[in-house]
Amino acid sequence: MKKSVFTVLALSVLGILVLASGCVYDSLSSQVVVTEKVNVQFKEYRESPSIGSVVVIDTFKERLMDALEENHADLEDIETITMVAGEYKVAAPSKAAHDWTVSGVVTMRRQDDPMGPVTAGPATFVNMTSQSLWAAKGKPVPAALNSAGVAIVNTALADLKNGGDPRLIVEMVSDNIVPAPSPSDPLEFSWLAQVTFQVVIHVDVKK
Amino acid sequence: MDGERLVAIGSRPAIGASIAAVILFLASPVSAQLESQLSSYTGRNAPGYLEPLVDAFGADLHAGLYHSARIPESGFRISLELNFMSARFSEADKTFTATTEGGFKPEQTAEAPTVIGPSEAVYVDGDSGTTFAFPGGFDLASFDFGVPQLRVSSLFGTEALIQLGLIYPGEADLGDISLYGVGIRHSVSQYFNDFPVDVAVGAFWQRFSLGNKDKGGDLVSANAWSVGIQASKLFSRFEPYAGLAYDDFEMDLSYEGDTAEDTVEMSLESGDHFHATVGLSFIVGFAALFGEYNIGGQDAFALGLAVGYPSFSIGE
Repeated sequence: MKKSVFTVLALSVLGILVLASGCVYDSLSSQVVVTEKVNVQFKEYRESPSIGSVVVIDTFKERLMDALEENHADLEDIETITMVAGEYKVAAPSKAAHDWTVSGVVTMRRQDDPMGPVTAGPATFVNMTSQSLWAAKGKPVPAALNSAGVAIVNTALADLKNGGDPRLIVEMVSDNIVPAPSPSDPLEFSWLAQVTFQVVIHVDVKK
Repeated sequence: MDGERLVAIGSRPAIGASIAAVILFLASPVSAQLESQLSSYTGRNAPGYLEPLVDAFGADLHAGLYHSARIPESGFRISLELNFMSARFSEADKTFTATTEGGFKPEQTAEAPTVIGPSEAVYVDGDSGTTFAFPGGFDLASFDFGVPQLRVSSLFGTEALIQLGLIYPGEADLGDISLYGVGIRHSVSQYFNDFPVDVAVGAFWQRFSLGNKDKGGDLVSANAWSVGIQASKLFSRFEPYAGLAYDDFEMDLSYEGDTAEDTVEMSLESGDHFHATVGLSFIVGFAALFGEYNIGGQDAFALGLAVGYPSFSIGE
């Protein structure tokens, strides 16, 4: 009787130690979602009621590789990469004592090789209608996205999974600024455009 | 899981925050992944994502705090105990109603995995070809960990309990980690002659913290309180016991959001405040094996072994 009692106790101790050591969690996996933002800044100085500024986004791959490294993952661990949102805000407002409203479009085109051909677009990415610059100060404003431009971004993001290094060209075109800028009342400001994308990564967690 | 939940969210300059979760107990690599999961939630969804883990952690901490209500009026007694606690998750714990974030249009809700839910991400489609993904969970059936504790008595029918955590920091640079607790219990039945069962009242406090104080403070800190009444009756080698307790559990988290400049801070409080315990001790001289089930908002069981001096049978 005494021997069997102590056998039960010994097995109990062993069981508790095994359970407490966390061995039951040896094989965990999850689909991690990493949210990344790519920013580009436009600087404007206009003395006439039109804007035509161009910036290049070529940091998608850099951001993706950083995200993968942080999660100890490789390209083959990626499940999906998709665009979540586009936002913009006025980073450095005009020093004028009055507000301005801007209407126009932001277009997107893809040109991975700066000396090569444009392989997609240009397509409308954002429609901007009477956007008050004062209202866009500080907090980012969700952009009114256009599916044609978003498709170019999503295709570029999907190509990242296959090792691509996409380079997108964003162009802001506006010929409707109110009040109309003039040499005596020039429009000078900078604004920040932001593309948010998510990378879903399959991660195996091993002890 | 149901119950009032207090959440306070704010931002402050980045403190180089790393991981923020009690899941550290499972395995440190899980902690690192959990930070990534949370980083896609800027605060609004994080409480719902973590809620089952917070409730389970609280339930586990409140389990295994006693295995008898017998406290001698006087005389030295000491016992070293090892507890294993486990909170099982229900189907309802696996998902929560999450809301899209980060400028995604239009704002939508979806049933998304909690931290212990299915591992697959959940997607919703937005305007103009955009997509929002809610992170998967870790597909856990239970949240378990072990903790050793030292019990010393008796002074005027009073005993003290000291807990020290069983922590696995692993290879991750998570900063300082600590889990400790203290408790005190007092025999009530000693004041009554021939009282049919032993009765005691007690209070317990436990604290868990994780973080690098050189970088600004704790990334995770949790405090658990419990006060209650217990009763037990010794029958030869067996001693059934039961108890009722009022609990309080609060956890503060701090982690990086989408950007290093965007540190999210929040305070989560378990909505579960009462639990009942039923258990049985099996006594063999200087050792006692005990198992118990705790019934509350989040059920939990505890299994433990105590080795003490003098014999646990004394006082029979």
